[in-house]
Amino acid sequence: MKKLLEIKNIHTKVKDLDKQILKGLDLTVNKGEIHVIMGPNGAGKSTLANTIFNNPEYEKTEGTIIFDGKDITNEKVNNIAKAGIFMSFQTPEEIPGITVAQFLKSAKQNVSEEKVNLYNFSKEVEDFMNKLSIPTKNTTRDLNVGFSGGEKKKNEILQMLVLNPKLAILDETDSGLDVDAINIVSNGINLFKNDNNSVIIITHSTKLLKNLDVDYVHVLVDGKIVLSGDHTLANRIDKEGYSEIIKGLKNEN
Amino acid sequence: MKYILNETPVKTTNGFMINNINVDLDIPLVYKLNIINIVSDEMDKIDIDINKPNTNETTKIGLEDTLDYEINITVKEYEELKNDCIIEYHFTNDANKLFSRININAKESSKSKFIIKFISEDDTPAFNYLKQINNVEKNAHLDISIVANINKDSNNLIAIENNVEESGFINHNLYDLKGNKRITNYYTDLKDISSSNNLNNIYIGKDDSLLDMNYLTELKGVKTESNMTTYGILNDKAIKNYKSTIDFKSGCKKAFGKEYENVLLLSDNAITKSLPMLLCTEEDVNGSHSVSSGKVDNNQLFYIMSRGLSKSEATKLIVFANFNSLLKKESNEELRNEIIELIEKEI
Amino acid sequence: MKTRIDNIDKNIYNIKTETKYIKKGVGISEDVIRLISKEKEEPDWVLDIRLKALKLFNELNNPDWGPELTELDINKIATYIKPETKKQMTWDDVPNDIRNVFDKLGIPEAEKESLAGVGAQYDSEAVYHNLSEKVEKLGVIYTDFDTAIKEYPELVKKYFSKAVPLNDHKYIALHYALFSGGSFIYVPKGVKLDYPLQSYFRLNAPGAGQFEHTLIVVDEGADLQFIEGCSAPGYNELNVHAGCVELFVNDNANLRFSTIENWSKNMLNLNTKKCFVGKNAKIEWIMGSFGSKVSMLYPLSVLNGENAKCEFTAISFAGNGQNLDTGLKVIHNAKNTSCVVNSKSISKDGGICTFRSYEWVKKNAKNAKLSLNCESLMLDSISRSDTIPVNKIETDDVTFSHEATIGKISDKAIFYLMSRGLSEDEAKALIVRGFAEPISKSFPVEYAVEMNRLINLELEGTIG
Repeated sequence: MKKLLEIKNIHTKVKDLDKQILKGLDLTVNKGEIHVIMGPNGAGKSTLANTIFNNPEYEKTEGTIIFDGKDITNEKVNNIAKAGIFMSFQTPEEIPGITVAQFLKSAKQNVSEEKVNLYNFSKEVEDFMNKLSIPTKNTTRDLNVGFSGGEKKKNEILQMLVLNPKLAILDETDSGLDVDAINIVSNGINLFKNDNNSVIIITHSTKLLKNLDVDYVHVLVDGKIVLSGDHTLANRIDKEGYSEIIKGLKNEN
Repeated sequence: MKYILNETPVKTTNGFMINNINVDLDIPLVYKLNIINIVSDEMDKIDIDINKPNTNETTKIGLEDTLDYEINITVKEYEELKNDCIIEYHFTNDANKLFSRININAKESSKSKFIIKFISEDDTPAFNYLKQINNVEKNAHLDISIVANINKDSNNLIAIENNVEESGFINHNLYDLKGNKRITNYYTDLKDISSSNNLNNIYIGKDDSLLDMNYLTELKGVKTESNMTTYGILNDKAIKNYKSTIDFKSGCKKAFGKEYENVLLLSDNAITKSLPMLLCTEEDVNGSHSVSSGKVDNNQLFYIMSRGLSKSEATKLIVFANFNSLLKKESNEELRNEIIELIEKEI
Repeated sequence: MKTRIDNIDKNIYNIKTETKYIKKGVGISEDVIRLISKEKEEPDWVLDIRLKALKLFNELNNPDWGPELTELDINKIATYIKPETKKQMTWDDVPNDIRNVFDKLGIPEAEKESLAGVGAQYDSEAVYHNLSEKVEKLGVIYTDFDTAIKEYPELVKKYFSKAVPLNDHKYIALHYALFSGGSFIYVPKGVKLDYPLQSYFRLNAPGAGQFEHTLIVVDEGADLQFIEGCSAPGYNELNVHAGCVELFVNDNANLRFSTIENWSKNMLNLNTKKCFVGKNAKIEWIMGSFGSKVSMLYPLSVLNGENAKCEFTAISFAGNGQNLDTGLKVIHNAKNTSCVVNSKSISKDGGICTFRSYEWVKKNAKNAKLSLNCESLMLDSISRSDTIPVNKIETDDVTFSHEATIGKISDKAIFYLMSRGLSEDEAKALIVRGFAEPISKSFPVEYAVEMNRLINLELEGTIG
């Protein structure tokens, strides 16, 4: 197995609140794997995604992040995207005046660093849109503007498929979605997934995981991964809840 | 005598004569002054000192005259008033003019509320000029309600100046419900980090009353926040000028400023003029203003009347619905009920 | 691939040509006015207006609000400059040096492709005016103003100075005293033009003034789109533009009036525009303001007929040394009139953008509707952006709303775009273009491209 992402002893705080969120987190993701990060509210799940992406609102105080052999700890977000990481945002930004089509093309050209063939590209996008049950006329709408919660999330998955990264981080992509939309999202993930790329799913529910071939589940509590296991761990969390599992851990100690 | 008052901070085109107000004011001579009553049951937490200085005073409103009373109030450090302090003046036929100045100094981390009331006892037209200057120190919280329950031929001029230090907060609720010529000037200097102000104004203009409001908040400190909200109704031949300015000065990063005005027009002879300005020399701010005017919505009226209410009752209800968001902000329940009663009488 | 700034030669607006002139008037005096009038072989009634305006100019003061104008010394300005050519009907007859300028601006090309007629003015005089044969047959008149006075005296007399009076303000008095050039358009009843007419105003001489008068009458039931472009090369001396636009949109008629203003940054642009709008008629103003040192421009729409409409869409972009004080005025003077305003501004590098409006709903304007929306974008903290709207409402039967916001490009939006691989500059440029997009899409396609190009040029300094 080849290492794709390696997070070593990362400490992160939120700049505005001056509050330490991640307190020495380690995580290794190999090519071809699906990892799931679960944990109670406020544990630092979204901070983890933003830490990998070096969001300027967060500050790393310790630790390193290696991606595909390169240190990306302090890399600019667009270079991280170019290196091959994609993040599906919990609340995607609305950008008035830029259509979905313009944006996809612009992003694709930046990430792939080559001029895209407009005809083939449109075909490809349309194909993905059909698979995600997104009306193709949506490409003429302004990016995320006036989109419902579900439409925004599907649009993130569409971007993931179009940009075809080495690693996709899905931050609460399933929250606020109905059953049909969750199925569409998990189909999207299966469509994307192959032996050479990886997915990190950040979620607090197991609904999205049903149709996925999950390799690892990690429980994140108070800024650290306290427990890791295979896909059965997710079911245990579903049944017992976090507090029981945390209690169990304490007892073991 | 003719006065030119209430100059706006920035001039614009003169077509509507809104850059200042040209008024004829008769300032009566007074032979007797009534006592200003101050009621507080927590005198250990505040210092009060009343003078009768013979000094001339000017304010941003532009009027100058000799002060009758000067009241200096200091709310002591870290003290919190449990009950509101009430300051009251009664106008009568032989004491129908008052020029007063109320200075409130809210010391560090104090919390207090003051209610200032001007009441007409009879039909004599009163003349009231209040200069109200507040200094809000670090972390202090100062809340002031000013009620003008004067008779309809009275003139009422109020000039407020606030100086707010780090994390201090000042709130003014103005109930400008009665009187003939009513001129209000409001200025707040948010000079320090995280200082903030609220101005909530409810007015009713009717008969031939003239209302001229000139508000200005200067945001200078980082993360300062200003909210200035005005709701009013205009009836008969009332004229209202609303001038409000939010000025984002260089360096007020992450500042927030919002001004809002809503006018409900109940008569086709009333005139409303507005000048809501946003001035900005700082990039990292969030500023907005919105103004809306119109008459009572016929669909709403019809809906309420279909439930058995008369047109005037239905109109009253809609007016209250309009004022409600501001009435909710009055923390003194007794005063709130009093205001509701007053509004009911006035419409 | 660069999504951001197309590498356009900024110098297309900056071509300086040695042009031969035959007459020159400097400053303002009765002598200069008589020289202009004589040169144009004008009838006495026009000269009388000029002399009356001269008196008013000397009497009136600078406005006591808005940008400072004291640096203008009209006696140092070349107020009348006649190029050594007559007005031509084909581009081939336009002298090479002048032709060259318009070629580079793309005017003859656009005429072939998408315009029904073109007028071109160089300094004080029209050098070219042509209307497609098809449109001419419909009875449309499109000519330079001097010709209009000679050939259509009755029409001109009926409308000239009837919208904008001589005493409106100091610089309109200046205009009427010195006016030269401009366009006259008459669209007869019921005639609907599919393609726009365009006049292009070029001020090429340094230290000069341009005072063109544009008069457009769209008669009952007719439709017209008119595009006005203006530019000048940059000089150190102050230039002044005090043009005047008078528009009459009669009952049931429609006029869309688009302006792309790219004066050089040594220009005082003190322009006056006014439109009378009849019953069921509509005026659409589309304005892009990029150039000039100081601009004061507030087109006035007088909604005189029932159901008359005004739509106002504008963007201004102020950079280093620029003070763009723009906006609109509207007077609701009849039942069911409506006005929709969408204004955006961008300030950077110490530039000042001011949105100023004046909205008056008169007592007889029952059921009037006004909706105004202003958005200002600040790109740094050395610039300035002010919003100064004023309104007066004299009837209760009105629906009025005004909203304005001010702020910077959201950091979150930049992060989101960068997370998809765009650089910070590209992300910013994309957001600014998106901000301007609702306005630029109101322009005809070729001009939207032109506008985007201007926005890109303007952004090069900060973001590129």
